[in-house]
Amino acid sequence: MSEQTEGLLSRLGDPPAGGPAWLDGLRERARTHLAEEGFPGKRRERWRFTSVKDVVETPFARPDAPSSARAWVDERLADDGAWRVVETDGRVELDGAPPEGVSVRRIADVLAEEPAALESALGAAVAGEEFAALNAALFEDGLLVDVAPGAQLARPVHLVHVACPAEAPRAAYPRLLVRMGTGSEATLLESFLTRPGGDARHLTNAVAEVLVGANAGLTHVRLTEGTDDAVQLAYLGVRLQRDARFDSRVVALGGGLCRLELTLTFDGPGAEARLDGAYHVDNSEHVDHQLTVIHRAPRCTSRVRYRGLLDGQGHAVFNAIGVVERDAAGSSAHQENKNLLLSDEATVDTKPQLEIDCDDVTASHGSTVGALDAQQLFYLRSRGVPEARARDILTYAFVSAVLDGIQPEAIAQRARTAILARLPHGDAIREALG
Amino acid sequence: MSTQQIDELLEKKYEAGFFTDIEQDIAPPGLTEDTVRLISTKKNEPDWMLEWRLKAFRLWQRMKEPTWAKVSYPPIDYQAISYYAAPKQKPKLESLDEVDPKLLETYAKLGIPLEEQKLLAGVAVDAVFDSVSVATTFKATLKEAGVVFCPISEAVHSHPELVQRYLGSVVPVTDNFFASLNAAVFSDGSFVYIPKGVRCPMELSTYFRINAMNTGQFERTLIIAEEGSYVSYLEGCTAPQRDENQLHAAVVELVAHQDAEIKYSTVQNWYPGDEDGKGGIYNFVTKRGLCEGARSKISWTQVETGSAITWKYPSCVLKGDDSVGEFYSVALSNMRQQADTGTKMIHLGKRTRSTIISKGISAGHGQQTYRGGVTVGRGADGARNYTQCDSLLIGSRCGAHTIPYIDVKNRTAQVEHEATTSRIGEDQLFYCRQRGLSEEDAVSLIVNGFCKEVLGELPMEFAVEAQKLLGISLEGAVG
Repeated sequence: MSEQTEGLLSRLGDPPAGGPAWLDGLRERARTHLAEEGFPGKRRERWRFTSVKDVVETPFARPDAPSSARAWVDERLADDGAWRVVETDGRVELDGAPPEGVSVRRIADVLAEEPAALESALGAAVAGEEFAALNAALFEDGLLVDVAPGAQLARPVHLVHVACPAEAPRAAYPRLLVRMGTGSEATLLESFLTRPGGDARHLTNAVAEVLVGANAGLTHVRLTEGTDDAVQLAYLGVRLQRDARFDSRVVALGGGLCRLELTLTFDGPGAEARLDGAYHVDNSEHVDHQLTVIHRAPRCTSRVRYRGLLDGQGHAVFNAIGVVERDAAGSSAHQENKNLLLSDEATVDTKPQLEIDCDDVTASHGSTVGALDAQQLFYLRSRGVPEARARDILTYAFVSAVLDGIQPEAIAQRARTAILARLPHGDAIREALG
Repeated sequence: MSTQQIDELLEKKYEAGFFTDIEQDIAPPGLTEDTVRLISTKKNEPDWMLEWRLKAFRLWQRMKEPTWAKVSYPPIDYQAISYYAAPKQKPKLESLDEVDPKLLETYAKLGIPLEEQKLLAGVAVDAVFDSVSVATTFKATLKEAGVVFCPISEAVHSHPELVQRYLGSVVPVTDNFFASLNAAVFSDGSFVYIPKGVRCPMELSTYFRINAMNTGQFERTLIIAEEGSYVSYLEGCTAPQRDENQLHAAVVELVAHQDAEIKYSTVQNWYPGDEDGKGGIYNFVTKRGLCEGARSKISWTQVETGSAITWKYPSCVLKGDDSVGEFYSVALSNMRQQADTGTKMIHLGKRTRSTIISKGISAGHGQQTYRGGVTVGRGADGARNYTQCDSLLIGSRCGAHTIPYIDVKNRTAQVEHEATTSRIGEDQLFYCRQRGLSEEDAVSLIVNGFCKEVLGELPMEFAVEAQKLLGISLEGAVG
């Protein structure tokens, strides 16, 4: 074990005790993995452009029972019609009854009451490696969302994760498990916010697993509003059964270091996935998206579409791997990544990658880095929009396009508001667009 | 056509005189500093050359063989290779009857004349080429133009200042494992120098280069194009070999000064091994061009149908303002072949442009990876790149992988990458079949259409040959 790893593990203390034997086994495997492999350095291909040296060397401590952020959240966010759950530094508060057809419980409660219910599900969609192993070793609580077979949720569920930086570095390990029953439909919004507090660094090491049953559909909107001291190292694992649908919109707005590893596996035939995303970096922010789509079953369709805006000295990394395995005949896999560089000092590293071992497939990927389309600019100017405003509008449209088609509209609106708040001249754009 | 092979045979004839048993003895398998010194001594090299080789060797000893490529092969025992010897001598055969009929069939399809077939197959024949006169005719023309075209071992003596200045300037000895190995033990290769303002009067190729040394497994090519000059260089390794697994680690360096243009074309058809993946060449090659001056241009065109394993990324460093880099590639892997190939375009100068067109075809159990890098540096204002890489899959046991790295640090850059992967359309096949084409011919036709953009970049005679090669290499892939 390297000194770094040992140092971090010892600082983080012992794993939460008192769980069922299978969970202890899971935690032990995760710790062993970390002890043997260590934390990733730049020599590891997927970490080539993202350094976690600082993170690993920071003496993060577990948060001591943070005060609830519920009131802060309700004050800050307008009512978007969704049923809201607030999680403060890894601790979940449930308030009121969830919409009909869904059961929402604290993972800590489920582990205490009927631990066997989670045995086959925890760790099913996210491999216990690297920082996912760290979460597996240390998470204490989280949220279990079970949508009943055939249920159509009338209201979306909104899970608000709140990071609470303190005077000393703290780390939180939120965990989410979503199980969509056969034929069910739901919309889930996840927001990652930082409540102003101390100046120390804060690590959110989140793992979410989504298991979508046959013919079920989930719309998942994931919105991160980062701050300079916030580090987010998150994992999202999705598994789709026969004819399932997964519609994902990821919006990552800055952060000192914000990384998401999204792994989606088609386990059954005929399933569909749409993975859209937008990111914005400014100052010296660093945003990193690592997507893996695995076509294991025949006749599945995946479409990845990510767009990035890079300003200041910001650095964005995008890496998508589309894998089509031997038996996945009739697969369709498409990837697209477009980037706009807005400053002289911004950097983007993009790598849309395809690995195909089956001949009955249509696959494509495209990626571009460049400036705004001159024709679009000309069109707006010819309509009397001043150039600077036209640029603002096109820039906004470039990223907000990933939110198109989201239902209910209030959810999309929440994400758009967050994007506008980040962009220079956001108010002016809002005015211009009415 | 089959230039490398003819070349080698021509050379062997020359060498027969002094390529004695003793020489074979003093270069036993193994690689130590003594081997490097021996090679250098054999070539009567000046001290600086030996020092350069030794530096590379010492570096190489501390390096690890790269493992990141998507290829797998049993570990290579570098101490089991003989570093100063001709490629394995084939037994001299008495007549065509003794030659593997499969090989003859291939030659017949390539349209190689009978006499040439004999030569290629290693049958002892009397000289069919008046090699000396051929060479002198060309040499006279080149000399008149001021072009230097000679073995690099000769250039070390005749143009030491040029070799010293440019050797390792594009691919430094520290570059990578195989490049360092090559620097330590390279046996020979070509040296080309085009003086200022000269348009090389003919396409240069190894075909008519008279080279006293064997071109071995570790050749090194250095091409320098001075201001405003132009040269087109053809490299052919286009006939099947019957050798066992053999390591081929070459280095090619190109330097284009202001307004100069270098066009480098390769048709590679080393022995790919048999259906079960036995034998074949390990082709681990480092090729890089430096567009040193403003408005210079380097264009790589390659057709890769051979080798058991290909590991090759011809690249361009676009340093001069307005310089241009191009990469056109067709790579085919059939049977158990594995190819990890692509390019790197490094944009440093202002308004530099690059184009990458890559066509990968996988059949049988072939594994094909396009690995490309486009880097735009902070100062490369207005840089432009367009990349298109398409993969075609034939059969359900092959694989096609695309790994493009795009790293951009300049807001005015415009970088586009597009890639598709698909198989031959049933409708296209059906159309050809109902017009009376056999399935194999139909596939060959469709594949050639798929590669058209690249084949069009090849000099004419190469293009014809490449088309035929594609057809032959795909045999047995359908059905």
